[in-house]
Amino acid sequence: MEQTDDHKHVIVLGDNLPEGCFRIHSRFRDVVNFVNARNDIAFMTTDPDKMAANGICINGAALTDIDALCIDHGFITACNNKNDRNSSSPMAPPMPLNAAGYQKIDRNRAAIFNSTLCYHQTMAAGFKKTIVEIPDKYAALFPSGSMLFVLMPGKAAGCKGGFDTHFANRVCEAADCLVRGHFARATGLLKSSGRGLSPAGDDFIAGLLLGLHYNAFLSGKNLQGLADNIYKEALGTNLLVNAFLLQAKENRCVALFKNFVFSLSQNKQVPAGLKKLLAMGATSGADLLSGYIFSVKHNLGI
Amino acid sequence: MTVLGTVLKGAYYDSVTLMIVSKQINELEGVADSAVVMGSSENKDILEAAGLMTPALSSSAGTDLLISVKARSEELARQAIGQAETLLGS
Repeated sequence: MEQTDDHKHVIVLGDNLPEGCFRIHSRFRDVVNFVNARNDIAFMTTDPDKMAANGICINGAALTDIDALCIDHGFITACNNKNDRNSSSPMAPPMPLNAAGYQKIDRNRAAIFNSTLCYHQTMAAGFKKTIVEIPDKYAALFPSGSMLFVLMPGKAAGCKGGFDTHFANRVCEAADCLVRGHFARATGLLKSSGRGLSPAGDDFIAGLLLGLHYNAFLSGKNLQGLADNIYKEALGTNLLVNAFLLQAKENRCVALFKNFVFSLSQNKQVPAGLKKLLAMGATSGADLLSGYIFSVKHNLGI
Repeated sequence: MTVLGTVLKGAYYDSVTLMIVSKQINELEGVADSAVVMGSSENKDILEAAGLMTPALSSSAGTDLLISVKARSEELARQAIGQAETLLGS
């Protein structure tokens, strides 16, 4: 097969890409998820805000044309197994697959997205106060039905349906367990529960894990063991969830979240960054942030 | 009240789509409650507690999408599920 090495398009790779041969897991408007034989998830997106450790962002890529991925330490090959494309195809991609139906990316020539959430000394006590104040300052920006109610109990009254009410009760019980240090019980209550492709409880757990890393930074304690235990308890059958929980356990996060934490630390464009984060999924961004704030507010692990 | 449920095997929809479908189903005439959620055992516990569990849903897998509707009559519940499936494009 002929190889191409097309770098006309901006290509950014996550800094913790799993390797192997991947088939399609799920396909959305601007994200395609792939899974390999070890159940690792890698994804392709055209949206830089959605980048994460296991992502590949190609500006202008026609994701509908990509059916499989091969990732090794040197190259990433995006394949089209259909081989039925022609010049009149409405899906003709801006990033063309070549005649043989594949596109090869040299990893050494691509930019790398640093997914790690970094803290520095200016982000100590004062920054913690800034994080904890988010719900009071910006509650109106949070989408209805998000897990903000864990931080602002009065919000739970907004639940209308039976499912939402029982979910809220379960989450409140989990929150109580978390504050008491009963992490396994809390994780068991939160995991895989709630609405959404990535259930709200899982998004919240990912936020908790990210918050633990801030708490470790603040206190100087090593909380990785606690993060590992919560992660193990939270693993379920949803491979997409397992993938982002793994990233959170390792203090890695999606670009939107990282950008928001940075804007918060600089106290610049906070509402704009928050709006973008809260627009992630239906409530995913809000649930992730709620978990993070909860972890920091209640000094979990320290 | 009648509760009916259906399982969409291995169906993945983005969370915004699921939220819109849930909202629209809840607003249908005669629908008292509904849920469109992934079929994890934890969500099934919540469905059970909320009175939204049905035999059809109990054997689903974690990667399935569950639609449950509590409505004034079986006919209205069936219509609401059909509407949900249409909105999801399945």
